[in-house]
Amino acid sequence: MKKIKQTLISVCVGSLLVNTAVLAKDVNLVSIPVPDHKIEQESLHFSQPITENSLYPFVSQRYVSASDEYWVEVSGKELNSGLALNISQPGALIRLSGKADLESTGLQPMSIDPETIELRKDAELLASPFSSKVTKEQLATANIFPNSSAVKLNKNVGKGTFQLRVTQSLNSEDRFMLNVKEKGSPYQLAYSAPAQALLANQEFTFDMSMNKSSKSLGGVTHNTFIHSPSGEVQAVAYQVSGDKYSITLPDSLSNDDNAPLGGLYELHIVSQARDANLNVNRNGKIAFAIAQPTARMTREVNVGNEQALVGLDVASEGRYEISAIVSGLTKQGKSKQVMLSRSAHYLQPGLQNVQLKFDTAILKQANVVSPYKVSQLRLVDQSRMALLEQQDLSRELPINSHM
Amino acid sequence: MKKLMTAMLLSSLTTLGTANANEGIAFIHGTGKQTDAYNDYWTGDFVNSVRQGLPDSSKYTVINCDFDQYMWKEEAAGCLADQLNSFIDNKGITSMTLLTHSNGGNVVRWILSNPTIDSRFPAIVSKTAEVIALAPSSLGTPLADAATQGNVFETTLGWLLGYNSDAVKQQQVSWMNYYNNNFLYGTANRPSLPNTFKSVIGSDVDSAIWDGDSYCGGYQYQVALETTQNWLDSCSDGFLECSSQAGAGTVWFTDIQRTKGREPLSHHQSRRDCFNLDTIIRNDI
Repeated sequence: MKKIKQTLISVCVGSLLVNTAVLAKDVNLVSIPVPDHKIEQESLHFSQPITENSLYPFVSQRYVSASDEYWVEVSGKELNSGLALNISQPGALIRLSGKADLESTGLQPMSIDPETIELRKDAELLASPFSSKVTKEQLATANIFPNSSAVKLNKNVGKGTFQLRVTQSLNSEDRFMLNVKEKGSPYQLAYSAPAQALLANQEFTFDMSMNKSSKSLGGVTHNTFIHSPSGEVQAVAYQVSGDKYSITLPDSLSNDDNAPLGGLYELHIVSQARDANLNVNRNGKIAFAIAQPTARMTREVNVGNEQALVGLDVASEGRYEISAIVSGLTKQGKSKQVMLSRSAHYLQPGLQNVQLKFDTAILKQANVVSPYKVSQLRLVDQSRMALLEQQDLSRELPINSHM
Repeated sequence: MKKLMTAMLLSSLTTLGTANANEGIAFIHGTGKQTDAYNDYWTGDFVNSVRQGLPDSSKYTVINCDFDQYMWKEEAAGCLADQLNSFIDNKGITSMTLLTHSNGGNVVRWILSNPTIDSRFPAIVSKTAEVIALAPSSLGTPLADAATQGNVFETTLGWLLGYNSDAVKQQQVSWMNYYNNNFLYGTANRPSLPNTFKSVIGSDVDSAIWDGDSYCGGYQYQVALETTQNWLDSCSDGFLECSSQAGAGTVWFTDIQRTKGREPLSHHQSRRDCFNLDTIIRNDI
C-alpha cells in the first residue's frame, strides 16, 4: 500500500527557476517500498568529456509513428465459418497466428496450413487469390512468429471486402490473431505523443488521425484502451481538445503494483473509416512509462572545484542518480560545456545534499578553470527505472545557487 | 568504497594505445537464451576466423546469457557483466572488442549507458576499446510490434503468444524510443556513448532459389526473412530496418560496401562467415 508523504515541497524562487520535463513542482512525493530485485548499494561516479557535437539537451522528444495494418482476434469457429476481411491495398499480406490459452484451457496453439485458406469475393470462390504462401515451419525459422502462417494476395485480386475461410478443421474455441498488413497503402493511422515519460496522475496527451495520402479523413471512429505493464487491459475514453487528445489513467491502472521493472504501458488505438466504398481498419500503439514521484531536487546546488552538492528530498528508500553538464571558463573567460558527470547513491528518506563528483582530469584536459557551473540537472530513480526530473533548459547554475 | 571511474577510463584509454595492450574479443549474441552460443548462434567457423585477428587468438570469449529478458535484468546485463569481468580477470584483458549481434547491442548499450547503476559495469566501460555491432536493433523493429499483437487478453501468467518474450516487447519501436530517450545513450539527440559503437548494416535479403548466395547460413531462414520484410521498409535485413541498425553510434559500413560480391547480409547471415564478413572483422580488430 502506498503511503503519500503529506509534506508539499516548497520550491524556489528567484530568477533561476528550473523547467522540469517531468516532475511538477506541486506534486506530492510518495513513500513506497524498496523493490525486491537486486539494487546496487555502492556509490558510483562517472564522467565523460563532451564536445559541441556530442552535446544534446535532455528534453522529451516526440514519438511519431504511422500504421498501415490492423489485427483482430478470431476464433477457430469463425475461421471455419468464414469471416469478412477488409482489404484497402492490393497485394496485402495476411498472417494468422495461433494463440495458446495454457492457463484456462490448457490448449496448445494451433497453426493453420496456408493451403487450406480460401478467399471469396461476392460469394464467389477465387481461383488463385494468393501470390505466395508461407508455412508455419518456414516462418518459425525467423524466430519471431511462432504458430503462424501467411498468405500474400495477388495484386489482381484488388481491394474491398472479402470472405476469408479456413477449410482445415479447427476447434471452435481455438484463438487466432488475424493480422492484415497493407504495405504501401495510402491509408495510414498517424499517431504521436510529445512525451513518453509521465508521473502518476499526469494525463497522457497524444495525436491521432486517419489519413489518406497524408490528408486527414473525416467520419473516423477511434477506440482506445490501455495495456498495463502487468498485462491488465482496460478501455479508456479519450478527451478531445481541438486536434489534441488525452487520457487520464484510472488509479487501478496507474498504480500497477505488479508491474515488472522497466515495463511500459501501452495506449492502443483501434480505428475504422469508410472511404470510396472501402472499409479501412487500422491499429496502432504507443508505449509510455508512469513514474512514482519518489524524490525530487530541492533546487539548491552548491558547485565547487571537484564536485557539486545537489539538494534532494527523498521520500522512498532507493538508488538515485543525479547528472549534469559541467562548464568551466576558457582562457578567454568564456563559459564552455565540457563534461557530463553522473553520480549514483543508495539513499534513505530525508532531505540531504548529494555529491555529484567531477573528473578533474577531464576539466584539465579541456583547458577550463573554475568557477565551474552545472546545467541540465537530471534525477533518476535507478531502483525503479524512473525518470523523475530533468531540466529542459540549459541554464547554468553557478556556485551556491538556488534553482 | 567509492570509485572514480573516469580516472580508470582515461588511464585505460591511454593503455589501449600501447603495444602492451592485452587485447581480447567477446562474442555477444542477440535475443534468446543461449547455453552454447559458440555452436548454436555463431558457429565455430565464424568465431575461429574472427579471433585470428587478435595478437593472441586465445583471448576470446563467447557469451551465454538469457537475452529473452529485458536488457537491464540480472539474467541479461548482469550475466553479461559477470562473464565479461571474468574474461577480463582470467585473461588479463586490458583492451577488448565487444562483437554484438542484434539485441546484444542493446544489452551492451545498457551497460555502457548506465555505468553508475551497477558496480560491475565500470570495469567493462574502461576496458572496452570498441563495440562492433552487427545489425543492432537500436531503434527496435516493427516485427516486434507485430509479434506482440493480440496481447489484449494477456495477463502475467495467461495468454502466451509463442516467442512473446520480454526481449521482444522491449524491441517494439515505441518501447525502444522510450528507452533510448530516457536510459540509453548513443542515439540521435542524446549524449554519446563513452565508447566507440560502430554498426554493420544488413540491407537486403536474397532468397532466390537459383541464387547460391541465398544458401549462406541456411536457405530456410532466407524464405522467412523475405516474408518478414513485408513489415519493413525497402532497406532491411529481413528483421531490422537499416535505420534501426544505424540508430546508435556510427555506421562502420553497409554490407554491400564491403562484402564479397557486394552481397547483402540478411539478419541471419550477419552472424555467420558469409561473404567475407568474418575476414572484414578479423582485419579490423
